[in-house]
Amino acid sequence: MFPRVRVLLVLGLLLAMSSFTQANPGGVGDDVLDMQCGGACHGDSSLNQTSSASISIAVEGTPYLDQPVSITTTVSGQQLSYSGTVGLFLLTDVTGHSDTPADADWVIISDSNGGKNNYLEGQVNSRQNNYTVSWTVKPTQITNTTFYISIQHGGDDTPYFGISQGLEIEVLPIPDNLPRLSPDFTPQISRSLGEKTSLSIETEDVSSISIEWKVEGSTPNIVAANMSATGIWEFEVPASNQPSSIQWRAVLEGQGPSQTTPWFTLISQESAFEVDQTAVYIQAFALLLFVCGFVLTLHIKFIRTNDSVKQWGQTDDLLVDEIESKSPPPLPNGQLPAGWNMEQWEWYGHEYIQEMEEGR
Amino acid sequence: MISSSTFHVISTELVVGAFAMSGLCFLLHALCKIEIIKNQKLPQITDNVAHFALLFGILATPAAIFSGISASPGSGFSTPILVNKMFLSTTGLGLALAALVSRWKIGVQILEKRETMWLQTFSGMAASGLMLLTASAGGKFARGESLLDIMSMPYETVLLMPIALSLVLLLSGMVSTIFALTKIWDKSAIQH
Repeated sequence: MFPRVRVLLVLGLLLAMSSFTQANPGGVGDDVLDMQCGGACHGDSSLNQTSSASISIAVEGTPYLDQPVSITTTVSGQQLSYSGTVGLFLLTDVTGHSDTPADADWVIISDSNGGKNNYLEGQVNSRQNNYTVSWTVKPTQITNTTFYISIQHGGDDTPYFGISQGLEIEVLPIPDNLPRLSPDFTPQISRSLGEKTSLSIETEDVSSISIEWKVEGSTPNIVAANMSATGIWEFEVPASNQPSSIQWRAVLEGQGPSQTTPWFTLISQESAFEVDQTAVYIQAFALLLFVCGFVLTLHIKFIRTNDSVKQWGQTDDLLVDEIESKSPPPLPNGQLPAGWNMEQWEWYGHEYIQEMEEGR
Repeated sequence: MISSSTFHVISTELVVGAFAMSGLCFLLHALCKIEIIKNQKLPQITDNVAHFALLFGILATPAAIFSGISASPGSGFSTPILVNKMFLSTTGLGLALAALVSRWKIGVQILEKRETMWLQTFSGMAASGLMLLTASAGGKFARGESLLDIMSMPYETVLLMPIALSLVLLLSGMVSTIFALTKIWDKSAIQH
């Protein structure tokens, strides 16, 4: 009875502890995820408590077809101070699935973390208890879309979840002669450290461009872009010697009303590690087989050596060995010692007898 | 449904636990054999535990490797640490397989003869050590620190051979493994 109680106690303890491990306190990293992200963010959504965080959402720029706009959100609240890491989703639905911008025909061009993800993680500003992120997105269909921001964070051993009010965006057709970015334009979002970077912009109906760029927290710098080919403009941003981000936007002039693009983010980071995966897999498999074959071959060699020594060099020893190995010692008191079986006795019985005799 | 990263944590904990127990038992067995530890039954117990734990670790290792590749960010080998983890774990797996197959097919005599006993002990303990080193590299990758940091392991350096050389190594490994297995199987069949 007592062992069963102990087993039940252990099981009960394990089940009780499971409620403390329902989340990933360190986050799961930026990604393209649905709101209910398959348990990747919070282990069990049924355990979520409602977050009291305040969520504001705003759009910057006019949402013309195939033209980027920026969606910025700021989350704040005392509850966020419990846990430094916050996860934010940009969603187009609240059903929990098929709710990414891509599901509503929007493309994420860049995010403020330097990627192209709808789920972003970051650290709450400890002094102000807030966190701001932005996405640059563009519509690929003329449609009305409602965007939502969803928040996931921890605190007080509890996973919290919240969702913002909707922000409806109506996509407009492009007017004639509107100075604009080319529908094919994709901004560069990252670069290596120490590289002076020349950025290229593809435009339509644009006669001149001025560029504003800034490092976070500083005043914007203005540079002119030079046309390198019809509709293609280039400008340079200075090198960065440490991981950081630069934000830039273009003011487009032409026959139509001038347009200002949203802020694009250019992340400076160490060069990405690149390796030929095929070479890694082949070498890994080669190492596995080589060490396995090497050790097995050594075993064969040592066994053979011992056998030949016994056969040709030490006939007397061989005879003794054979006699010993073939005839196990007599059983003490005619029966096996407690806990022994016959095979063990055949191999180790001599040692047992020897130790018993030494003990006497 | 659990995520790859959670499955990787589960499988690596199984691998590390199994290999750590196996390595400890190989060590105790060797200490018994050289009579530093004098215990009548310990050699049998450590022999059994070492090899069964090794079997369990071997079964869990592929799950750990593939879930790790799936859980890693980007293309799978986004940092040198992940490449080194792959090499360390497959080398450890190779040693473990050799140790287990030897004990299984050659029998207990492998632990009776001096040379083969030491070779078996070395294989088992090296496999355990490599698996623990792999786990340490995982800690370095995930948390930026590991207990084995005191050894200043060069996790950021990758010794990647040209594919041609790897293929030569692969071929020689295959030939030697098949040859040795054939011999061991033949010997095993004669003994039985």
